[in-house]
Amino acid sequence: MGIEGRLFGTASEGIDMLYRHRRLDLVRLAVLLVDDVPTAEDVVQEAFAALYRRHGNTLDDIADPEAYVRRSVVNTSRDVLRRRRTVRAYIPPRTLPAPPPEEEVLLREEHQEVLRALRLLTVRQREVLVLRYWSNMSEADIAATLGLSRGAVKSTASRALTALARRLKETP
Amino acid sequence: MTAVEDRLRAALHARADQVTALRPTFPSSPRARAVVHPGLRRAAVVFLAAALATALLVLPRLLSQGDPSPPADTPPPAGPSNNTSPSPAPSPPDEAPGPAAP
Repeated sequence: MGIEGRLFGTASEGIDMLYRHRRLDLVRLAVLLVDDVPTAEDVVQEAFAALYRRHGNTLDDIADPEAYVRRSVVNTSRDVLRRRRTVRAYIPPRTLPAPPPEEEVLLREEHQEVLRALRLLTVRQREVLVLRYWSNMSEADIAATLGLSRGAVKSTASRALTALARRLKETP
Repeated sequence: MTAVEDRLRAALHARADQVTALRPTFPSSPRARAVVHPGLRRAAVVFLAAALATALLVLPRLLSQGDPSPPADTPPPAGPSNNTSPSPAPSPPDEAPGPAAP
């Protein structure tokens, strides 16, 4: 059962409470996918706006609103990353948006190494690893969120971990 | 769990935990926008446009009805003659033509 059913009665309250209770977690998830907080906040905002545009006041026809919004956040983050990578192909890297340096500095060096290696994976590999190791989702849930088969999730996670380990070894 | 998985999990949690305060936008308003359904909003726009057009058509007429200006077809002033052409002005009596000054 989604958060809506647990906390309130009306659908309108459902959207409101979903926003209040899950926004921070969803922004954290988006940060791990798009790197910077302002973009992550925009992604989450857009996910809720899309939820409202599509379903209006009522969440009755959504079985699990929380999973629905999470899926929307992942999809919107993917769009952001792909757009960014397309831009990167045409614009010199120096002018591209990067994670705010002050946030990077506050992380321990070993975490920074891992996050840098994570950014070099494919979008799909990164999504699978974030959902698996930060959201603690099962393979089945990841498959449902990303629209993949469980087998594809498993193999993507395996390849992603291998690539991550290789990149971490390459790091001096 | 492998060392890489441990490091990945720790790094992800460390990065996520850096996000503690969000900008204070309140529900970009699922609730506020829930009050006005998109269909109702569209109907309201159509209604406002119709009202504005009606006002633009009716307002000039209403204003002209209250205008105190005289009617356009006023009768001609009463006079002995019906001739409306202007009569020549009478020449002043003192100014009889005389010899030109040398």
